Amino acid sequence: MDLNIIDTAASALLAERTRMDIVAGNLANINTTHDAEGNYDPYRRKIVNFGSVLDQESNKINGVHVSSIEEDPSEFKMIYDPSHPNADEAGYIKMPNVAVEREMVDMLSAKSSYQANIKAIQVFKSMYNAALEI
Amino acid sequence: MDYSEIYPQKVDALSTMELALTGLGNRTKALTNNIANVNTPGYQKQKVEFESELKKLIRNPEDNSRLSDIPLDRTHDKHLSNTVYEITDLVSNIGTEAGAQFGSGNGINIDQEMTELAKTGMRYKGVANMTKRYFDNMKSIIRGS
Repeated sequence: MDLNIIDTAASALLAERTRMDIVAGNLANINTTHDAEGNYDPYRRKIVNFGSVLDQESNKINGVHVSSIEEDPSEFKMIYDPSHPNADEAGYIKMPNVAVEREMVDMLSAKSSYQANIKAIQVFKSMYNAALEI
Repeated sequence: MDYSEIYPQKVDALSTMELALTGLGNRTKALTNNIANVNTPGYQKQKVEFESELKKLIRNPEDNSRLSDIPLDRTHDKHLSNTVYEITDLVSNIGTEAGAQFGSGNGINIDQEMTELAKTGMRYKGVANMTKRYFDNMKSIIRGS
């Protein structure tokens, strides 16, 4: 039983934390219609993709990492608001394609996965301590 | 030096416990990987199986055992014998297993993995405790008190 079991679980902690960061970013930008320069460019929901990590020495899967962060290509929400300066001829403006419900589910999933990995580290620690007491 | 010639049964118990600890440790590694990759699409579940092999070696003395050079006479079948089982060729490999596909596109059921991890941890601690007691026994024999 080697100590890098903790690294395996720690890699998942990092990945789940990144996912939580992205969820927080999506929720914070739920009403963002302009980019950093002030141009009319609604925020696109970001998606985290996970991939397994292949250990180079043993050529076996050992841990997980965020393989990429992509943008959700789905349609923007159209809100009817004729008084908005960026409204089109019909009076609609584009709002970010972020859905609160989906982000909440993602957040809960990230949270429980994080806790599961914490638990795995705790179990490993108690096992290792038991081995040290032999 | 082959200690099994001196203390056949004791050494045998120790090597059995060692194998159990190794197997359970490898299983923890596989379970930790499964838990880490619970949200990874296309991940193949890892599985460690060693108990059936261990059982085979312990429960079928006819196939996988040798008697020590001076066998003890027994007056009853249920008396302990000084049979030595050779447990040397046991390996616990980490294999992969394709399971049912869940939402994230892999076969990981997090509840199953967590309960399996808790079980493995408790069994590991049990075997480690047994090993500790084995050495405590040895110590008290050596001290003679």
